[in-house]
Parts: sequence; structure tokens; C-alpha cells
Amino acid sequence: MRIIDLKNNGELKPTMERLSQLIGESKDVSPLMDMDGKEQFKYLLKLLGGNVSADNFEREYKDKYTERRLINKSIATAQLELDKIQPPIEVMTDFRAKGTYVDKKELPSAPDKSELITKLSVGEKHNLQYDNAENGVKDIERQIAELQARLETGKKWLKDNPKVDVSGIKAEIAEFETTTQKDYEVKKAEIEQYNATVDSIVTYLQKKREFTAKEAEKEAIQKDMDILKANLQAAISGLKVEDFAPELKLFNEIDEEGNVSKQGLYYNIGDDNYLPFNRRQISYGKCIVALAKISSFINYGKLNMIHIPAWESLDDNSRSEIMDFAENNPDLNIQFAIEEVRQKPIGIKVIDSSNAKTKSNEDNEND
Amino acid sequence: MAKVNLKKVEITNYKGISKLSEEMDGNHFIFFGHNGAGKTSLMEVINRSALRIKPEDMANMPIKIGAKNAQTGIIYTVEKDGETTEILVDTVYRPSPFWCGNEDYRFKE
Repeated sequence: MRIIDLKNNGELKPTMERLSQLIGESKDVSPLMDMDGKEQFKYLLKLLGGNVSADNFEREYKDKYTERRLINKSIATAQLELDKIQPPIEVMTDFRAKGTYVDKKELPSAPDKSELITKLSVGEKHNLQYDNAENGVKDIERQIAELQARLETGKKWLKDNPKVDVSGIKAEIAEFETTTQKDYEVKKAEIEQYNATVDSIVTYLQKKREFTAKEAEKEAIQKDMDILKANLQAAISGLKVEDFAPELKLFNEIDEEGNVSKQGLYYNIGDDNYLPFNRRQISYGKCIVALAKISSFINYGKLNMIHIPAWESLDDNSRSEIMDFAENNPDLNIQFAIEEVRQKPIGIKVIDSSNAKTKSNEDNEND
Repeated sequence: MAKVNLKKVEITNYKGISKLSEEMDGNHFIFFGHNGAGKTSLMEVINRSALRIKPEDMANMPIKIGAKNAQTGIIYTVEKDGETTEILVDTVYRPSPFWCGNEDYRFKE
């Protein structure tokens, strides 16, 4: 497919590109009256080449909203955890003022009484030996007089090896249990309590840092949401439909969660009362007139033709609304292409814009 | 303000239309006919020349049965900065299994 530009010595150029330069790629606005508000909004953005599509906005905004909701949940959990491990005020005062509760202390080695136990064991063993010996001596005394010498030796041995006094050792052990061991237990409990406080301070600080980070993340998400909203507002700022079609207004109301509450074209039926702009609620004639105005704006400098099918099925009001508009706006860059079923071969009847209404009525009567 | 208007339509052997030639000269117009007379085909020709319909969106070969080829001619007037230019978009459709490739599309200013 090629184009011959006769003005330019027959130079060949891509047809569509050249045609587009000359008559523009005019856009059909008639589907607007068969759409719901959301579709109208997207369609208008598409026609005007908006750089933010309503689809993207809604999805992105909802994503961010969900993200923020999750962050809020985790912040609440973090707050709960923080509250749980919050150290007493005096501990926090010491921690901040004196710098204590920072490092954990080492526990001293536990006192060892095994030496004393060994000593006791040796003593008791000795005493057992003594008792055996004493019995032996008694047996010998009782049974064998000849063994007197041996008895004497035994006696002498007894004399030379008196009983060891273990009561001192026992007292020492009792003393150990009442003082040293107790002191140790007390000291140990103190240190364990101190270390637990250090642990809670460390955990508290860590949780506090996490909490602060989450707060910052939430702020960043909120900022993203605000930017998305601002971008959409910027994209639709050029869509001041009421400037060129005063009876119409483009609504775009979005709640905090990103849900669209009111969107699309609305028709002013008087006293600032608006009805959704579509064929079910607004008469066909009014729809066509409003669309003609939108089309004039959107197709500025391009072919601006509105196709009106099934003319024969329109009521008189709609027909006269369209014809009045055509009659009163001869200078508007618009052409109505009206399609009508008649029992005739195909033909075209031109309507003189300067006397549109009369001419049209005449046509109907004549046919 | 730039104005682009449809000035004239000429159609020969395009779908159900054998011959049609009418000068609108930028005015509103009514196109009429019985069912199947070719009213939709006429709008198709206009929309096609105004780039609202791409060739790939047209499913069937638009040549009237029994004709060798179909021809459409559309004249637009472009008024800009006090100057009026006429554009003729002239298209010939020839039979082919791949009819898009056999389409001549030319215009003159």
C-alpha cells in the first residue's frame, strides 16, 4: 500500500502517516453514551492520551493501601511487644543516667567444699580403724594373757594414737552452709536479675529500632499513595469537560481506600442535579448534542463526524434537539452523518445547516 | 480554527453499493436506503478513509459480487489559517486471497 503525493513530484510516502498528517486520526466519541462511568473515564483518558490510566491508578493505589494496612498491623504488634518488655522506670533511669545495664557480668566460680568432704572421709575412715583396733585389743585382753606384751604394745599404740576430733570439721561445714553458700546464692540471684534486665534493655532497643523503621516505611508508602493521587489529578486536569459542554461534568471521586465512589460523565438536569450520562437516563438527542461538543474538542483540527444510526426510530424531541443544535451551530467543526432506513435504494440527502430543521422535516414528509 | 469536512463521496462496486456519488460540501447529511442497501458500507468507507478503521480490521473482501474491482473516492476539505486545501483519498480494491495487499491507496492535495 503506497501513497502518491502529486504535489511533491510523485514522491512515495507511507499512506497512513501522510493521511494522518493531513486529516488527523479522528476519534469516535459515540461509544461514551453506552458506557458506565468507569468505562467513560478510562475512554476519555485514552482519547486524550492521559499518561496515567485509571486501571493502573486503582490497582497501584489499592496495592499501596494493602501494604500500608499490613505495616499498620505489624506496627501494632511491635508496639505490643515493646509495651510487654518495657523495663521499670528506675532501671531505665539508671540505664540512661549511669550507663549501667549495658554489659552482662560474669558469675564468680562456685565455692568448692570437696576438700573438706575428703578430710571428713579420711577422719571417719581412721575412726573406723580405731574402733576395729579397740575391739581387737579387747578380744586379746579377754582371751590371751600371753599376749600381754602385745596388749601393752596395743595399749601403747592406743596411747600414741588418740582419736581425731572431727567436730571442728563438722562445725566448719555447718558454718560453710550457713554463710558462704548462702552468700553465693544471694549474689548469684542478684547477677541473674541484673543480666535479665540487660537482656530486656537490649531487646527493647532492638524492637524500638524495628518500630521506628516500620514507621518510616509507612510514611514512604503514604507518600507513594499521595504521589499516585496527584499524578491522576494532573492527568485529568486537562479534562474540563464542562468548559466545552456546560451540561456535562466529569466526576472522579476516590475514597481513602482507593475505591471509586463516583466516576465518569454526569449530565446536569438543572439546579446542579446530575444524572449519569448514558442513553438509559438521558434522551438520545441530548446525548448526541453533548457528544458533538466533546467530539469538537477532542477532534480539534481533525475530521469530526458523528454517526447517528436508526434516525427513523428516534422520537420527535430527540430529532429536533439534534436539528436545533445543527441549525444553531453552523460554524462548529462538526458533521452529522444520519443513517435512516427508507424503502429506497441507497442515497444521500444533504442538510443545509442554515435551515436544518425545516429541510429535514421536508425530507421526511416528501419520503 | 482548523476545520476538516467531508466534501464528496464516490463509491463504485463496494460491497452492496453499485454506484454512489454525492457532494456534501461540509454539510450534515442523511444517508438512507432499505435494509442491505449499503448504508453501513458507506459509513465503513468514510471511517476507513478517516483512519478510524484499519485495513486489518476489515474481515471480508469488499468487492461487489461479479465486479472486477471496487473503487472509493473521498474528498475532504481542510480549512486552516484562511487557506482551504482539498484532499482526495482514492482507493482501489482488487480481488485476491489477501486483498489487503492488493489495495491501491492514493491521494492528491
